[in-house]
Amino acid sequence: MAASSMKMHKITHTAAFWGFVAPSVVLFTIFFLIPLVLSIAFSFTNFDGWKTMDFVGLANFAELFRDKNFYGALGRTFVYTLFSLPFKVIIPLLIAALLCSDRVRFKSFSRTLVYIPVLLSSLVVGITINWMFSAEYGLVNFLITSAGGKALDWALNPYLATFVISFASNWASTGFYMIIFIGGIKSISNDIYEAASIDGCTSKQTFLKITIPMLAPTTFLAVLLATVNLLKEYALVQGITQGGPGIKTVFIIQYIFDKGFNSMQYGYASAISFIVMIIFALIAYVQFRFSNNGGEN
Amino acid sequence: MLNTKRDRIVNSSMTVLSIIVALAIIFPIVWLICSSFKQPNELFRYPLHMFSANPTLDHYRSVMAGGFMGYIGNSFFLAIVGTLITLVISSMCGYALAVYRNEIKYTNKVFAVFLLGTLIPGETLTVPQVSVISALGLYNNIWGVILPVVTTTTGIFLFRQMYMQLPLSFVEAARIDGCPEFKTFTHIMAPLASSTFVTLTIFSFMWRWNDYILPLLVLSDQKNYTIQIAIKNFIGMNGTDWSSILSASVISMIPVTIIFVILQRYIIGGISAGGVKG
Amino acid sequence: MKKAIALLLLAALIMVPAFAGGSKEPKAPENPTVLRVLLSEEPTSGDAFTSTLNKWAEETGNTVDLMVIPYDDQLTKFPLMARNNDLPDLIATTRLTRLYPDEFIDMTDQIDISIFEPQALMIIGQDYTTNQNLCLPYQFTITNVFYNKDAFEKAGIEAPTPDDPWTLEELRANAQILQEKGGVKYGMAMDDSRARYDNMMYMYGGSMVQKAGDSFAVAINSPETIAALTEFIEWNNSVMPKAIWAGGTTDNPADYFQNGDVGIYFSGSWNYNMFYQNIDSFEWGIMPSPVGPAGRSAILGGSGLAVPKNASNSALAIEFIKWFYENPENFSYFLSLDKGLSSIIGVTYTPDDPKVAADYEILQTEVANTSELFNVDESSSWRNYYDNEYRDALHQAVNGDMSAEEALTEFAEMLSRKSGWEMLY
Repeated sequence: MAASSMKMHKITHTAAFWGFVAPSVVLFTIFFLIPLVLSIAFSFTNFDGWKTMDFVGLANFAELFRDKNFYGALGRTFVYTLFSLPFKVIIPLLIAALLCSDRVRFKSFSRTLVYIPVLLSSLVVGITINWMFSAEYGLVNFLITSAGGKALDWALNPYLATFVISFASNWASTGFYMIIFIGGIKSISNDIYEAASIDGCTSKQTFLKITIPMLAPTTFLAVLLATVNLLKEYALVQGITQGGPGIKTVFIIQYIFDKGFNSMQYGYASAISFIVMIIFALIAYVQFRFSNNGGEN
Repeated sequence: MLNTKRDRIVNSSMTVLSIIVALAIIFPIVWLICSSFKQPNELFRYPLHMFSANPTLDHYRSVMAGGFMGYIGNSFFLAIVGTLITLVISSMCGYALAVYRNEIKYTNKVFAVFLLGTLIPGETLTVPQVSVISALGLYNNIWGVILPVVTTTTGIFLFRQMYMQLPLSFVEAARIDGCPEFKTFTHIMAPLASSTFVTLTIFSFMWRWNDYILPLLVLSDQKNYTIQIAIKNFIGMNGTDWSSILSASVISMIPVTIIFVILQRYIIGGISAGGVKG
Repeated sequence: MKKAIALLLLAALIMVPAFAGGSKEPKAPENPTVLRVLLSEEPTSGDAFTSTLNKWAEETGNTVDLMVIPYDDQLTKFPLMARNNDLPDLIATTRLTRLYPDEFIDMTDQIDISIFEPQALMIIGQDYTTNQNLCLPYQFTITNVFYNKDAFEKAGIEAPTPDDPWTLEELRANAQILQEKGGVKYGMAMDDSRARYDNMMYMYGGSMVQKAGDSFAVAINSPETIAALTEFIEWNNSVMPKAIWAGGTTDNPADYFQNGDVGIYFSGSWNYNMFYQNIDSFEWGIMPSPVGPAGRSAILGGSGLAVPKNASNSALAIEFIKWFYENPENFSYFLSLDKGLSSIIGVTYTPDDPKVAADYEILQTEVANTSELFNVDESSSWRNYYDNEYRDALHQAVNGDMSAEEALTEFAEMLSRKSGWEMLY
């Protein structure tokens, strides 16, 4: 009796589960998984985006593995991601903590200002950042020279060019991660803070000993999203440096577009996408495992 | 907690710090807005000035004269409809992935499949995606622009995260009372996630507002274009119409900013309201 | 469940090509008086071609429906339009007819082809293998050199004349003087476009390919080409805004020139009108292009009009084309706004403004400088293989990541592998 009722429940719950997820699963399958499978299928062909599509076996992959620019682009992508990741997560965390503090006034005003850059499209972010960092007529160089300094070669020095992209990316996402962190901070029970306050903890101690550890799940989410978004950086690069100087800021996604879609080698571009996707998935998986071992869930 | 003098100093210096940070972050946009009122020949003229000696609204007039209002309307429509669908399906999906995690073994696997969605830059799938859209007969159809983008992993992630934090006893209590599964969600659990709804509304509205490639490829009538396409079209092969781009960019920021200002206080209010602390 | 998903995917995979193939029946025009025109950028007010379209609409009572799709995205959108019977009636392009020749109407049967300048027809049509004419030239442009008269005066430099052009050494020396004494930030600047640097390559006697029987051979790492690029790198390091050619910026040197920051600007006739409208703070003009070890060089280009076979209203598009080209009055109207070269024999444009007339004369002398090397390169259509890669190779060489020789040799090897052409050097 109890067992059959359990079973009944199990069935209703399974049905309910699939009922809840069905709309997302169906749309995701049609508009994401099927295109994904198609794209993987393209990678074994010489598809040109329209009429030609012959099976070429592993030829695209063979070409890919001896393509030194592919490794170059991938390497730059990793360096860029590692360099930008701490800033992308820590700055929003500090701002979120500041803008959640009881000591600070005009919080919602400040939050709004911090968030506004997030609302811009990459196109507009690119335009805005160029307006600041353009080597010729940019505001930053103007201020440097007005202060008697020497104008910086934002476009010619690969480190500076990478910095500008990273700056743009962080600038445009700070508000996003700040909101995620604010959500996390607000869900920490006030009782804990009250207890800490009664025990005479300073703000700094509270932040380091309570806020940071309690935010671990949120931080994990932020790190994962930030990593993936940095690995995928494309539109901003296109809008700011177009991959230059030389090819020093060509990251992997731009490489896919330059190599493939813009010269109608869809087969080859799909092959690169396929490999890149596997690499990204591995990175995300490692992060996932790492955080699970770290005690979440 | 007495308001000692030291406290007051700390409080006001932290407030000042937060405002400085906020102003620094907003500054590039202020600079952009100021530039949009400059005469074309002032844009690149050294020394640069914050404000134009002879501010003009001409660029705004000429941009608005060229069908820009229509593009704004289209972007609004796409953003609102897309966001509503996203809210409904993501909340259901995230809820189910969290609430049934103990009873149904493969929930995490289903979730992992959705996570794939964040790993791949959407742009690289554009070509097969539009093939699917046109195979479904959705070419030049407004749904061909909306349906492909409404499933967002971030949305599902946020709701799942939210419901993972709630004790399962909420659901169990409802079940003992004989409440059907779906009603439990709509009447009891969904209202608890109001802050996540607001957060996702902001995210989704912004994503849809900034959509570019899909509307361009799927819609065949220029009258249906979105605001981002209109901005991009000012960039030419041999020259860029900077004045128009700047004013169009500024116009494009206004609606999303208003939406955010209206909604942002609910994020905070929602999160701390009831239930959560259990 | 796994099975169900697998089945679903399979079904979708089968369905997609079936639908995508679709029917290709051109649909009946919804409205026979509406002409749908595809452009690649938002026309500025007073744009020559859109003004001409409007004139036609007014005279004939038809309506023009403009649609803009940015250049890069046309590659994705055009096949999609073709598949969905949604092609525009008239397309301003050069690339689409080259890439998808089967989709366009051969204009040879529709209009008297002999009215066109043969060079314009060839360069813009870019068809070196058939006798078809898929793309009719309307905007006919040529590379040319602009100069800042005020800066020249200040530096005490006399502009060259068509009879007495500068050598490349003189050009560089004068650019140096301009930069030091002319009050400009850069002695010279060049658009970040292959075609501008290619002129220099041809002046040195270099080329991308050479004829080899019926086919071609890769010549891009010839001593002449390497010498040209080596010198070009030198220029970039001394008298040019290096960031433009090293990549790394989206700046357009036309903006630098308009601001009076550049002494000598290598660009093309398409910028003339814009400069004429915008520059008011200094005097400027056009000077003849310099002479290199192997002579002079100019590159023709432009844009053409094409009508897709399956456009719903192709008849109206052809009607417009006849109105546009066959009545000299209409083409002159276009030309007077465009201020460019004429692609129709016998239809010329005589500027009213004496300054414009003088500049226009120099522009026309450039046409004679087009190099045979360029024609051979064009006819090989090497660009169909590796366009971006060549740009990247030049960027890396200018940026100093590779020597001129390394960059060109590496690119030559790539091109040879892809095209199957022999390497000459």
